[in-house]
Amino acid sequence: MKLEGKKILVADDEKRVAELLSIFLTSKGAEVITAIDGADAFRQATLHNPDLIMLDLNMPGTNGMEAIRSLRMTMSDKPILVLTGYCTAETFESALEAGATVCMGKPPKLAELTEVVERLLAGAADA
Amino acid sequence: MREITVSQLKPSESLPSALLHKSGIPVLHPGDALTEAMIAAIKDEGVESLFQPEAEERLDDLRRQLTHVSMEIGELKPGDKLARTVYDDEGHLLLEAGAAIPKSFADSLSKRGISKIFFRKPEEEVGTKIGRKLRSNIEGIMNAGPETQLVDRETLDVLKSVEIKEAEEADFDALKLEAKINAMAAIDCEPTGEPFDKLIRDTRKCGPASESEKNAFSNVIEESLADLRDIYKALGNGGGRKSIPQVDKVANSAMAGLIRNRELLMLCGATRDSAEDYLISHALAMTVISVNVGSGLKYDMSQIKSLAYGAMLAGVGLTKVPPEVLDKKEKLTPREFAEIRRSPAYGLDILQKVTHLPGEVPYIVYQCHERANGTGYPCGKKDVVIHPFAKIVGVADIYSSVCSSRPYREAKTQYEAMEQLVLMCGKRQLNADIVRAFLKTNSMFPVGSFLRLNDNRFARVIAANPKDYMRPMVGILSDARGTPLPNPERLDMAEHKELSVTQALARKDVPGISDDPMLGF
Repeated sequence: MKLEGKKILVADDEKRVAELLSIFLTSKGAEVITAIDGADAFRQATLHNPDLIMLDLNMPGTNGMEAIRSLRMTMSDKPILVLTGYCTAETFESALEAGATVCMGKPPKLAELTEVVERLLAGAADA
Repeated sequence: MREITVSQLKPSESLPSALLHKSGIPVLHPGDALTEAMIAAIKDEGVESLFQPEAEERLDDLRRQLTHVSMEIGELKPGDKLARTVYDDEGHLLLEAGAAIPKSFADSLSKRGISKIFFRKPEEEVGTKIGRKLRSNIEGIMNAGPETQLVDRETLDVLKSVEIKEAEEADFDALKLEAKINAMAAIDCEPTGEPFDKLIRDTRKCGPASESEKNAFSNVIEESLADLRDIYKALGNGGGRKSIPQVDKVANSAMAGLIRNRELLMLCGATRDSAEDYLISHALAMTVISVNVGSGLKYDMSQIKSLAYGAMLAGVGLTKVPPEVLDKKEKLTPREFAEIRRSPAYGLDILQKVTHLPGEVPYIVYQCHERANGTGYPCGKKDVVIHPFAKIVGVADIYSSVCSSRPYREAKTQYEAMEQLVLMCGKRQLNADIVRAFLKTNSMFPVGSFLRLNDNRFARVIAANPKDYMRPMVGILSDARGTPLPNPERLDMAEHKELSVTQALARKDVPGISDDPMLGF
């Protein structure tokens, strides 16, 4: 399994979404850390050194876009996967501009999500 | 007897045994401190080595060994002529110079239980004069009071003589300054001359700081705090136009500290949590942080000095805000907040009476609370129309106040302060280049922070790693069970990729460590 032993940070203010993602990724062998907003995501990423960060954009306090910009200040090469309900070209574009590696619509198809996560983790391992 | 070459001498707070010059004159006694300045004085006299008694060795024996040559009486040849007069231990004359050694001499000596005689070495070899001079120089240093010199005289003179471009008087009028800013499309301040940071020592390669260096730093910081108290007092006194010489002195000290040891300067100056003397500690912290960040942005000496002036004076407007507003525990009412928003203008008003202030100062004082996205005060200006020095001081202001305990909240850790700066960059409230310059010299886990590592050991950050903000150089304070180590062990996390930080802690959360403020440095 390509997710085995990998540490993934999941940041979503909707507990249910974070839980589902967590269950799914854990079942694939990953270790999952969760965060409830952008500021929390930044701290968890700083102190847990995850292999991949998955972020929702619409979160209270520090939103996902702001968190990405902060994360990019301190960790330039960590893959950041954005999951958002606002699937407009504009949103995707500004997330990528802020420093996201990949953007996906929410809810994601699990097969597609697995593929993207595996690809990002493999890419990070190459780098 | 142990011979110690001058290059082996290391500063020490309390010497275990005496140090003697080859003339037998004690340069320092047991328990005396040996400082960098003393080592320099020893070198200045051209002395190559000093001597220390072995554990059981008497000082008198050591002195005789240094100043005399000995001869077994069996080696005495009857008929040889003596070059010098020979006395016994008690000063009785045994044989006069020039006399031939009589046959019975050796016998009579051994009958008296004497097996060895000593001849004093010639004066040019003993060097009594140099020994005396050395001792008197060392005494001079001992009596000179606390060390406050962080850089050599020449460098200090250069710092003192830096030319600054004086501010126009009209810039201290809030309305006129605002009109001037409104007419500008952007406020630039490019680095011009030789970058100041070229002068800064790379302490990462230097090993632990000596005790005398640490002392000098704490003395300079205390002195600067006293100077700042004087400055704020003088500013509060009113009266006509005046110059305040201490402003230049504090700026020079901060710059000298940066040159000598960036980390010690940040440790001692950037986070002094003093609730009763908040404005003064905060002024010092803003000065120290601003010169540090400014140097990272490659500004030259004159620009750094202007920045230091502005940073230490930026908080002066707050002295006009009623303390019940400044220290209020509850949320401020709009009217009270309006008072805070007026503090930059109060600051300009107070500084209008001070001469010899650089041109950047009014911009720094007036604009350091503006935010890059326009959410600051007093004017809500955006990034390009905020003076870069005001942005630097703004970053220093936030960092220092987060680390300070205030009546309405407890002090947070330096890590939390740095985190807040980075999150504010994410929100575009702060300029990312400025915060990045701070990260480069102070790391995400700022110099002086206490950490827990992924192997459970406690550590303290002693220097930033400019290439990886997450992997600073640390002093390991405990083993994996949390038992404190007697001597912190230096370790560069950049060279230990298996290590990472899992927790940033307040000092009180690290069990069993000594209360030495400079622990690990």
